[in-house]
Amino acid sequence: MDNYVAIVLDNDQKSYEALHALWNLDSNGDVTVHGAAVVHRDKFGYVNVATKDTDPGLRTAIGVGIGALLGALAGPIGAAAGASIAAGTAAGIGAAAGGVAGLTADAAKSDQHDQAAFETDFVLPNGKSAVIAEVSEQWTTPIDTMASRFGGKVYRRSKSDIQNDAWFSPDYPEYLYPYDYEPQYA
Amino acid sequence: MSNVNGALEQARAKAQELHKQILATLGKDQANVRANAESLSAQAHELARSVKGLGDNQQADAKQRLNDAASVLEGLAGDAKSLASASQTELKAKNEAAVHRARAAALKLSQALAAKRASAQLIHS
Repeated sequence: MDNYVAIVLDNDQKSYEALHALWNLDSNGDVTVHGAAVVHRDKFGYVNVATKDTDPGLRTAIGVGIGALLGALAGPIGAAAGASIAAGTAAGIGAAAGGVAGLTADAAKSDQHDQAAFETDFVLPNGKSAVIAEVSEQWTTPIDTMASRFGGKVYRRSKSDIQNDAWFSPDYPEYLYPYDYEPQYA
Repeated sequence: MSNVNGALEQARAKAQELHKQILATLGKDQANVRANAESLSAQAHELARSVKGLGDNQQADAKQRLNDAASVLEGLAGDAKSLASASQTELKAKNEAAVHRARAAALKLSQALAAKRASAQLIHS
């Protein structure tokens, strides 16, 4: 199944390690990673992408798209069924919250970017980091197990669900690196 | 790992490497970009040729994605070649277009690999 996943972690270092661990799963043939990137949401709510390139234009273009993709991972109704938490026992709470956030935003979809920004906050709270990826996976265990090793929460939506979203952008894959890399912030 | 999977993984790795090389030139001076243009074009063309060969005896899904990847790589070869003669004002846009194509080629090959891995797992389950 083709999915978008967000593995939300406590800090940047854990995200870097999780990114490499994700690509290791690909090398082992457990999943196929089509693209991935590390992002961080600062205390003011701004989403930054840890790129391998310091070109400011590229960084900005990637940042806008990643924000939209994070929003897509949370909603709308698909989040209720698709959101899951790998570590701990709060899966039900996370799923319900995702559904509510999605429904609220869906009812007021006059501005797609505002909607994405609103839902992004649900997936990636201020001060947290995440690995965002497009993957093909036959089962969810490899990524969920890897994420739990780092204490991460996994949000997952099928690519087909996201493609049906009102604010879907076909450019999402453009914002993910098609290989492992050493993330860096400006 | 089967030979076919291995060949697909190698092809994807080469497309990924092309993306890295082109992305690396975005921040470089024009002389550097132009100097690498012919080499990038030749690499993309050669990879397109080898990817076409991988499509034989594949299931429809993987075969289609490999054909798509080959087409994208041929386009990339053309993009890369045009960098050599691009004007200063054209260079950034052409380089970005090449990055876009290299990314698309890597994605198509990755999707073909996923299809191949999925069918192999079905056989073994």
